[in-house]
Amino acid sequence: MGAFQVKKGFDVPLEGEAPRTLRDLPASPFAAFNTDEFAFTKWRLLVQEGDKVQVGTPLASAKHDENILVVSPVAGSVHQIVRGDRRKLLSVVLKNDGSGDAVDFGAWDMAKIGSAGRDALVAHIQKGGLWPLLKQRPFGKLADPAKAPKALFVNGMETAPLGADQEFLLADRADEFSLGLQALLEIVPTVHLCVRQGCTLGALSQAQGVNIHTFAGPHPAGLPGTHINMISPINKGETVWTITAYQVSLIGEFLKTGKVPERQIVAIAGSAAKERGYFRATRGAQISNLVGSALPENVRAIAGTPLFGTAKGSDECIGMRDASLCLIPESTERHYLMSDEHWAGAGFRSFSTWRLFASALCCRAKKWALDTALHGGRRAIIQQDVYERFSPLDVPLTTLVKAIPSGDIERLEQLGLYELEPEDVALCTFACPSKVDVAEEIRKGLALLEKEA
Amino acid sequence: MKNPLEIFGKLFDGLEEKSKGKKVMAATVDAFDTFLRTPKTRTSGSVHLRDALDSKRMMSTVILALAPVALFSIWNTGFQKLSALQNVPGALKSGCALLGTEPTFLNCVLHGLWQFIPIMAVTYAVGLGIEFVVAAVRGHEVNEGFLVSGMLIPLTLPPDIPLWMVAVGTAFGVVFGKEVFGGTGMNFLNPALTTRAFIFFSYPGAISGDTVWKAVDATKDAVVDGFSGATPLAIAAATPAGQSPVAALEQAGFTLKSMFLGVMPGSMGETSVLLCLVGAAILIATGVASARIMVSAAAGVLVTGGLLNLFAGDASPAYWHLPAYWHLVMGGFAFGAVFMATDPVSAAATGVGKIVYGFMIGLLVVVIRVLNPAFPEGTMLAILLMNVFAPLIDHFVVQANVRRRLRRAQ
Repeated sequence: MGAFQVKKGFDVPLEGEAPRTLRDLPASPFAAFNTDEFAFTKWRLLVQEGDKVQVGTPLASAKHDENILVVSPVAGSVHQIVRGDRRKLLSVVLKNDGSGDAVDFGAWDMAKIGSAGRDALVAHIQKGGLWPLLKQRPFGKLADPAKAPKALFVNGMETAPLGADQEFLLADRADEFSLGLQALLEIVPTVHLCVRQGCTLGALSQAQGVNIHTFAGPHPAGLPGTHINMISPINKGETVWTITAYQVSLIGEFLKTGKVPERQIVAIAGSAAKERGYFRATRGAQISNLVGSALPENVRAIAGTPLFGTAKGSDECIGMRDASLCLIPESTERHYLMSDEHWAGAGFRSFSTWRLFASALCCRAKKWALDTALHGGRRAIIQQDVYERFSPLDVPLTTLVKAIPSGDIERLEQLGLYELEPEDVALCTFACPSKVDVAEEIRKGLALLEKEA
Repeated sequence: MKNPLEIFGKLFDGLEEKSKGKKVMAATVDAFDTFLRTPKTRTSGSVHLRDALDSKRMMSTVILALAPVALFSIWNTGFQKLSALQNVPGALKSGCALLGTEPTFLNCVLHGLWQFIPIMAVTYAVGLGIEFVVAAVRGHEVNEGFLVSGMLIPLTLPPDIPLWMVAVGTAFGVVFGKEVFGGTGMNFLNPALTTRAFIFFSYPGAISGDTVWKAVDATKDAVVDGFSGATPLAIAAATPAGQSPVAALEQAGFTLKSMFLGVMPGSMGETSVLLCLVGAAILIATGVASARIMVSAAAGVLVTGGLLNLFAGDASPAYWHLPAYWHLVMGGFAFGAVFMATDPVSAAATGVGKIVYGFMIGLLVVVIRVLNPAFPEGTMLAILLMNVFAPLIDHFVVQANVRRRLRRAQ
C-alpha cells in the first residue's frame, strides 16, 4: 500500500536481455538437486544410486526438520550422488527417462485450501517438495513452519540486469498464482506483495488479501532485501519469509494439478548466449540442455544473473529457485599501457559507474557486453562511502564490512547484519574500486552469526 | 601485434613464473606487471562483474587534479626566486647558475624544476621504496596510495627545504602515518600531512609559517636584504590593535586578488587558490573527493571568521577584524581543504560526519590562526586534529543508526 521510490542504486546496462518470447525446450536428459542452493541446511538422503524415481519422489529431507522434503522433478532413476569433503552431500543427479510418470498428491481447490487448516496445507506443500522455495530471513535459510514469521514478502518484480521479468513469467499463470497466494495467506496472515511501479498485470496489481507495494528506481529496487528494509525492517528475534511471484505460481500449479511441476520457465540471456528468450525447461535442468550444446570456450554460464548468481559448468544443473541463466564472456585479454581499456587509457570502452572514464561522457546509454575481468587488484577499502552510495538500505555497510573480521557478534547484530543477504550488496561488490567482495564478506559474517545464534 | 608494449608481456610472464613462491620478488614483479597491463584476474564468487575503476586509476585521477597546481607551483617557484634576485646581479651562485637569470617564462620553469624535481624525486624514492619493501614483507600487492602522497608532500614544502629533511620526513610519514597501521586504507592520519607535521615540529627553523621562502640559498647565494618577507598570515597577526589588517596586507602587496591567483611566495603548492579550485572541480566532477567536506570546511571558516568579526571591538586584536572570506585565500587553507582534508581514508566517511568534520576543520583553521599566538598557520594542524577525530565523528553517526535499529525493536 506504499509507493516507494528507491534513489540509491544503479542499473548495470548489460547487453543481451532475453526477448519476451516463450518457447519449449526438449526435456533435459539429466536434472539435479544441488544442496548449495539452500544455505545453512544439512540434508538426509532418502534415495540411493540406481533407485527408480517418479516426479515427486522424495530425494532428501532437511536434517533439522524431516518434513521438509526435496522431491524429484523428473521420472527415471538416481544417476549419481555427489559428495564433497567429509561426505557432505553436494547434489543428487537424476537421469530422466522422459516418461513423466508422476506421483499424484491430489488436487486442491480454493475451497479445500480455505478449509484444510494451516497444518494440513503446510504438510501438503512440504510433501510436494515445494516448501524449500520459501526463504527465511535472517540468514536466507529454509522457512521454519513451526515459527510464524512477521510477514511474507512476495516479490513480483525484478531489477537485476538480465533478470527474468516476473510479470512476463506470470503472464499466463494468473490462476496458479492466485491459488498459490491464497494458500500462502492461510499459512502467513500478513503478506506484502511488491510490484513494479506501473505494473499492469492484473494477477499482481489486483491480488486479493495482500498488501500491495510499488517500487520504482534503479536496482536493487527489486530485491526482497530492499523491500523488507523499506516496508518493515527485520528486528532482532523476528523472521520474515520471501518468495518470488513465479514461485508462488509453482505452488499454485502443484495445488491445482496435484502433481509436482515438471517444468519451470527459465530466461536465457547474456551477450554470449546464442539463443535468448524464455524457455519452458525441466526443473533443475542441465546447463547443456538449456544452452542447447556444451558451453563454448571462454563463456561463463551463471545461474541467476551476472550481478548475483552461481557459475555453472556444462554438466551441472540449474537450481530450483533460479529463474534465469546468463551467459557472459570470460575475460581473456590483458590490455596494455597506451590502449583505451588500460587503467591509464581514456576509457571509451571501459564501463564504470564512476565518472573517471571517457565512457561516462559518451557511452552511458548504450548496452555493454561486460566480461568477467576483475579490473584491478584487491586493496583495503579506500573510498569509505562507496557502499552507502550504492545501497538504499538503512545499514551502515562500510562500518559493518570492516567489523566482520572482528567477529564481535553483538556489534555485528547492532549494525544490522541480520537484515542483509549477500545478494543485497552485490552492487557494492560491483562498484568497489578496491575490489572488495562485499557480498562474500556479508556471507562470511552471516555464517559467523548463524553459528553463534 | 596491436600494441608495441606487448613484447614486454612475455618478459613479465617469465618473471612471474620465476617469482613464484618468492614473496619479495613477486610483489615487485606484480607491481610493474599490473602497471604495464591490466591484471588477468577474473571474478570469482557470486558477483561476476566488476566496475572498470581500480585504485590505480583513482589515484591517477587525484594526480591529474593536482597537476595544474603542481605545474603552476614549478613556474611560481622559479619566478619568485628570479624576482628576488633580479636586482642583485651575480647573486645566484649555486649549481643552477648555468640557467638563465632573466625572469622569462622558460627560465622560471627551469629554475622551478631545479627546485621541485629533486624534492619530488627524493619523496618518491623514499616513499615508494618503503611501499615496495612493506608489500614484499607482507606479501600483498603494492599499494598505489603513495603516488598521491608523493605528489602532495613536495607541494606542502618550501622550495629550499634540505633534501635530507624531505627524506626523513617522508620516511616518518609513510611508516608511522600509514604502514604501522597496515598500509593505505588502514591509516587514520593523512600520510602527506604527517610528513609535513614531522618536518614542521622537528626542524622549525627550516619550515614555519611566519617567513616566506624563495628558494634562495642564503649561505651560497650572496645575501640579499629583504628577500625573505613576512607571510600574509604573519602580517595579519602582527597588525597592531586599532589598525586595519586589510590595509596592512595590501600595503605589503597582498590583495585578495593576488592571493587568489597565487603569484607569490609560499609552500610550493599552496599559493594559488584558483588552481586549487580547478583541482577541486576535477575531484568533484569525477566523484573521487567529497564536495561536502570542501564546502563545509569553507563554511566553517566563514562562520568562525564571521563570528570574530561580529564580536570584534576597538580593543580586540586587529586580526579579529579581518573579513572572514580573506581566510579562504590566505595560507594553505584552499590546498588543504581540497586535497588533504578530502583524503577518503583519513576523513570522516558518513554523510553527516563529513559535514561536521569539514566544518570543524574550517573552525579550527581560523581559531589557530587568529586566537593562537604560537602558530601563524592552522590548516595542517586543523586537518590532522580532525583526522584523529574523524573515527569518533563517524562512530556517533553509526551509533545513531544503531539506536534507530534498537528502538525499532521495542
